[in-house]
Amino acid sequence: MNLLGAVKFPPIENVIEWPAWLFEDSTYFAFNKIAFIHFLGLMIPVAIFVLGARGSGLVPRGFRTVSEGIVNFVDTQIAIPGIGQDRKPYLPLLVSFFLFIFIGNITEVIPFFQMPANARMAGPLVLAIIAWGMFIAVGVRQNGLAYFKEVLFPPGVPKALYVLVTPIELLSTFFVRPFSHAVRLFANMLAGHILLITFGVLCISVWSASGLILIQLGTFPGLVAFTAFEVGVSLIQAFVFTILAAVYIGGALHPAH
Amino acid sequence: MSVLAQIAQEASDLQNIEAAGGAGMAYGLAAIGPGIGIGYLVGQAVQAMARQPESAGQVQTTMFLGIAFTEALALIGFVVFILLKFV
Amino acid sequence: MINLWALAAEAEEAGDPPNPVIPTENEIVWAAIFFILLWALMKYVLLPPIMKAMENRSSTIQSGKDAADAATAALGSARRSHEATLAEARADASTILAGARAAADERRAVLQAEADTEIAEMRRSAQAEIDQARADALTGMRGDVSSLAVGAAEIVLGRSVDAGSQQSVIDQALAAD
Repeated sequence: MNLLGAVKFPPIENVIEWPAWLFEDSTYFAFNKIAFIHFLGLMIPVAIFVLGARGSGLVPRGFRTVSEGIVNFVDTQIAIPGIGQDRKPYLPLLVSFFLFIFIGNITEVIPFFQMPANARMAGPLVLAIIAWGMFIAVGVRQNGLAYFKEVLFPPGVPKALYVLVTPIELLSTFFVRPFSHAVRLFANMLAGHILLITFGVLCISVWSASGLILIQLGTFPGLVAFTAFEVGVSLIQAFVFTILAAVYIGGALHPAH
Repeated sequence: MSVLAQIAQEASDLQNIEAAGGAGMAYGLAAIGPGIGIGYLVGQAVQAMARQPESAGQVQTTMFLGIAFTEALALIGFVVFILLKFV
Repeated sequence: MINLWALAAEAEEAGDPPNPVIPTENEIVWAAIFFILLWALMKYVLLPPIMKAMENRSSTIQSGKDAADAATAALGSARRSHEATLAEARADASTILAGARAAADERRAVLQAEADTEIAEMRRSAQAEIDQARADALTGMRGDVSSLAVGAAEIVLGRSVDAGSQQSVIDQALAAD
């Protein structure tokens, strides 16, 4: 296993599982680092928006700029391309998705945390199931039960092909979609986390084994570069998750397309 | 008993090695298709943006969507890797 | 023979390795609580004032833009009317100028004609005077020449020459001049 001799990769459970801080005995309410990051994912947006709501007047400044920038970004870059003009009722959900996921991701590179909350399956699964329930609810409310007919028997397909199309649509839209939605975020963050740990372990091992300073010249810049890369990945994954949720909701609003 | 434990340990190691090999193979194979796909997708998107810089924003959003769908396959390969390697 | 795989599986069972892909219950619960709380707060408390402020601002900007557009339109119409007035004045000026020029031309033509007639009159009277003088001079000279010639002939011939008979000869000589 250990080709580099001194390099010893820690067991996977040591780098993604965290002991409980509160309610240690409870199965359902054990509060660990992941839960704390999710708590920050609630509190930081609340703080930004509460501080941002104080300022008034025509020219935004301070936290107001931040909150309006976030809302504007989600509106123009995610909601309008994903849903269209009738996007207003879904904006709170999309803003919540974006901020919650981004904060859950960016802790990957923040000291003390060094752990993306979304590298655990729980967070992405909850969010994906909420998005799934949301788009089905939107489809049913907008189109009634005809929504299922529209999705399962798409118009313009020859009747004989329904044998093939309907099971595929049923599986891909109502069963696979939440899992692919969740796994996309989860696996990206887990992969990034393991990548950073690999480079960190390599750096420490090479540092403690003196005489390998030449290798250190390769590993440490690699660690720095991948840390910067993971910042971008955090942002892009939050963006991708949110825009996929928007596209699903938009597809449920206008199933004919 | 210690001999038995040693045999068991060796068997476990053997299984680990097989699992690692299978896991590496799984991820490597899973990465081929999405690699080609994402390369092609981004190349086409860059071409589209170069031809019509005014629609760059829209192309970029669609590009990220396409990358997300294509990348899912590689990520499922990664999950299979994790499952084979660590479970 | 001992089933190695079963033993290996037992050895692994002892360590109880966690499955990194399966979500754990407590994290699901906390993630759901915090996210749903965030969503509810966002929907009912946090986002509405921001959205309202943004809409207010965009409507203010829109109305300002409209006012600017209206002002631009007013400016354009004012400029157009100003230009129309200017063009009218210019046209008036040019008509006045053309009228004045025409009057001046007319006047000049009249004056010229008068001057021409005057000059012609003066030339004619001068010509008449010259002709008169010449006729007078001819008449005077004729008398003098005939008497002179008669005198010279009397001297040459020693007798009186009939002036009347010689008159025609003298006239012929003068006319030949």
